[in-house]
Amino acid sequence: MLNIFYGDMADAVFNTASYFKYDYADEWITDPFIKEMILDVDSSTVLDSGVIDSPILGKIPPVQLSGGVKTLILVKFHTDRVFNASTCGDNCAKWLLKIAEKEDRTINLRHLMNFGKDSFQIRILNTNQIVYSMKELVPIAGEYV
Amino acid sequence: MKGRYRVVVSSRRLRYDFELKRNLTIVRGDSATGKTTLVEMIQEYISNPSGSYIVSDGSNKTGLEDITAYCPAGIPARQYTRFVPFMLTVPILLQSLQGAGLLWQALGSILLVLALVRLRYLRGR
Repeated sequence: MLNIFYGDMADAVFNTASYFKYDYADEWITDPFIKEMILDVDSSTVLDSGVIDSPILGKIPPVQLSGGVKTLILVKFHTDRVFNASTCGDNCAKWLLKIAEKEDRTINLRHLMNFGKDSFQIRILNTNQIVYSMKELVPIAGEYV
Repeated sequence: MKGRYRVVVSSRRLRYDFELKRNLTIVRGDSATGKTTLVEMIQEYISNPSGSYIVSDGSNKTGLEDITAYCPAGIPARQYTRFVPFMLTVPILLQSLQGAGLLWQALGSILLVLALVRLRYLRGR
């Protein structure tokens, strides 16, 4: 399940782009799940662990991926850290839910990310409540951002 | 800040051309829509205008060079308040998904400064 702590969180990694720059592993980029995610969010194709083909920027290294995708990759592979997912746009929301489908993940949000119209299962750690829709999420999370 | 600031920045592959009409402009949107690239291009140009491939519109003197404060994503919203002293004089371009909270915070800081100024004025009388 996806666990979210809304608002300031002292232990969360805030600058995810910088963390990714010095931490990413080659094998993360060629993981099939990550390749699909990069194609969907960044419209870019992974050619190799060090080369991604972007329709806008040309051939780019992994550090030039979008901030959202870099954060998603960290959330996927770093189960021991909490990352600031407010560097992700709403188009990353479905991927956060997918990553947390089979394993628990905790993220920190400083804004109200739109998780869409479909039902989901998210635990809001501030109040330890589980919500199943944006209608349920907004009044609770809105208190903390 | 008075008037409008036209911002033009381009490279071989990209070109941004827009106007800043307000003191504080927040760039927000989905991931991979070019927010960070814009901020990095401006940063690159400002730090090295003649030696960078990034170019700004040469005919526009009140453009890129006048944006003296901007900030990439990944900076806590509370740190944006350091831009408050500049808000009345220069256009500020910020990249953030925390737009609403940031605006309220900035507005709160401005109101606090105005209240302090008024208090000093009243004491002076």
